[in-house]
Parts: sequence; structure tokens; C-alpha cells
Amino acid sequence: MNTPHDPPPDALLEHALDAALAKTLAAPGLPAGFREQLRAAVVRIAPEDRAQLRAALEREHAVQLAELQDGYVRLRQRTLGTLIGAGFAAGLAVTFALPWLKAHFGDNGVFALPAIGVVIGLVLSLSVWWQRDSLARALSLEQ
Amino acid sequence: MQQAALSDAAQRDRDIVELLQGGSHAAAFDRLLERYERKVYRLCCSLMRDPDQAADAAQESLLRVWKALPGYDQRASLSTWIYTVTRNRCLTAIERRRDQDSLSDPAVEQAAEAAVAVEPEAGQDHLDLLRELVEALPERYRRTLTLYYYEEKSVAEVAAMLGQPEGTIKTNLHRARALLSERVRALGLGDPKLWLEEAA
Repeated sequence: MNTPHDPPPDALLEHALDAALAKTLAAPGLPAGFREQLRAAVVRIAPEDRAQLRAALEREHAVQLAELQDGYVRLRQRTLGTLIGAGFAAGLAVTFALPWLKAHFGDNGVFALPAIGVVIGLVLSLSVWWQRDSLARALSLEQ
Repeated sequence: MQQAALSDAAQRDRDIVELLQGGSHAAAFDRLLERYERKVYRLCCSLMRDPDQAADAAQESLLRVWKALPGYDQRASLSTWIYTVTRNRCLTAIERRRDQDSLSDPAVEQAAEAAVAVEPEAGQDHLDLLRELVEALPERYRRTLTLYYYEEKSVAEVAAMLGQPEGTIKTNLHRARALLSERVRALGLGDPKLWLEEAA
């Protein structure tokens, strides 16, 4: 007969079932050689991975080469365009500016155009030189 | 106690992720094996029933994890990711086996489960009989109950491994136990409590 302090019969059954299940369903251990087999499989797949990595790197390299090639072609096209444009501008200058210079400065006016070009060139060269010099001084001061 | 174990597990996962972020894939995989290989095998055992097939599925799952490790992006936690890979691998293997057994129709499988009638044999060990009763449970109850005892009765761990909410796990456990008690009574082996105590 159950006393008031005894757990209900269902709870006792639950407890007994729990204990029996804990014994019946013990966690299985890893099969013998499990880790070794896995290691061997990892080593076997490694060459495949290396081949995949190499193929990926080759693809990346090919893409970079194609981009460089494109850049080079674009640069050549731009240089050619600049040369053609400069030639055309020079032709225009000779055609229109020379008659105007002759009219205003006489026969010696022909030399004005190259003289202006030389002056502009010198100014550009000197400014670049000055910047390089000041940069060098700034660097030497920092050191 | 369980909370401390969980935080320890989280710390171990963080260590593995840090190794991965540092590019040490081999070292990370070593740590990962120490922490997960038994769990992965137990999950495979609970899903596949057959220990040999479970071992194969566990090997394949861990190999997949190894291959995919450099691409692990932390969108899911490490444990969730590993358990998902494992479950997918097992379910694929189960599907393949089902096709081979020509039991592709779930209704056919349920009928086959229902047809399993456990008859106690004279002198049969109580633990063996209980094991048979567990094997005869509906699949979702059997998986949950088995994994629950494999994982030292951690509902949270079973939920993570099966990818289900904890509430579902608790419900499945309750129903599995109720069914087992009912079937133990139905065997007519006398007082079920005494019978189970003898089994334990």
C-alpha cells in the first residue's frame, strides 16, 4: 500500500523505464580504425583539391592576362588617337595661325609660333623641376 | 552544470573558427574531429539504424566537412553546419537504400513499421526485448529517443543535432515513452515496473 510520501505509480514506471532505456540505449563507440580511415581518405582527396586549386589559379591568371592585354590595347589606341589629334591640331594651326601671324608681325612672325612653343615648354619643364627639387628638399628635411 | 558544458562547447567552437580564420585548416579539422566525430557517428547511428552504414555515412559527412571547411562562412554556427551536412548525407543514403528496397512510398514504409510486432521469446533478455520495442517505434520517435540517451539526456543537443525545435523534441520524447509503456503493458509480462526494473 502506498503511503502519502510515496511517488505515484506512473512516476515509478517512468523512472524504471528511464533507467532501462539508459542501459539499453548506451551510446555506441566509434568503430575501430575510424579516425585512420578518415585520415587516409583526406590524404587521398588532397591531390584532387590541389588540382582544383591549380586550375582555379590558372583561370585567375588567365583573367588577369586578358585584362592586361585589354589595357595595353586601349593604351595603344589612345596613344595613336592622341598622335592623330596632335597632328590634326598642328595642321590646323599652320593653316590658320601662320597667315594671321604673317599679317600682324610681318615675315618674322613665322618664328613666333615655335618661339611660343619653346617658352611654354620651358615653363612646364622649370615648374616640374622646381616641384621635384622642393619635394627632394622636403624629403631631406623629414629625414 | 549543463550551462557550463554549453559555454565550454561554444568556446571550443570559437577556437576552431579562429583557427579557420587564421588559415590553419588542418589544425582546425583536428580540433573539429576531437569535438564532433563521436557526435556525428551517433547522429548517423540514430538516423541509419545500421552501425556499418552509419560509419560509412559519418566518414562521408566528415570528408564533406573537410572539403568545405575553407568555404565555411559562419552564416550558421559550426555545430549547425556540421549536423546539417551529416543529416543531408544520411538522408541521401536512406533515400538510396529505400530505392534499392523498392520502398519509395512513405505509406509503404509506415505500413512496414506498423507490421513489426514484437513477440517476447522464452528466456529472452529484457534489455533485448526493450531494444526491439524501441526499434519498432515510429521513426521520428525512435530517432529522438535514441539520440536523447546517446547524448546523455540533453534535449538542447538533440534539438541541434536533428535540426528541430526543443519543444518538438520534448513532445516526441513524451510520446515515445508513452508508447513504450503501453507496449510493455501489452506484452503481458506482469507488472511493467518490475519488468523494467529487472531490465535495468
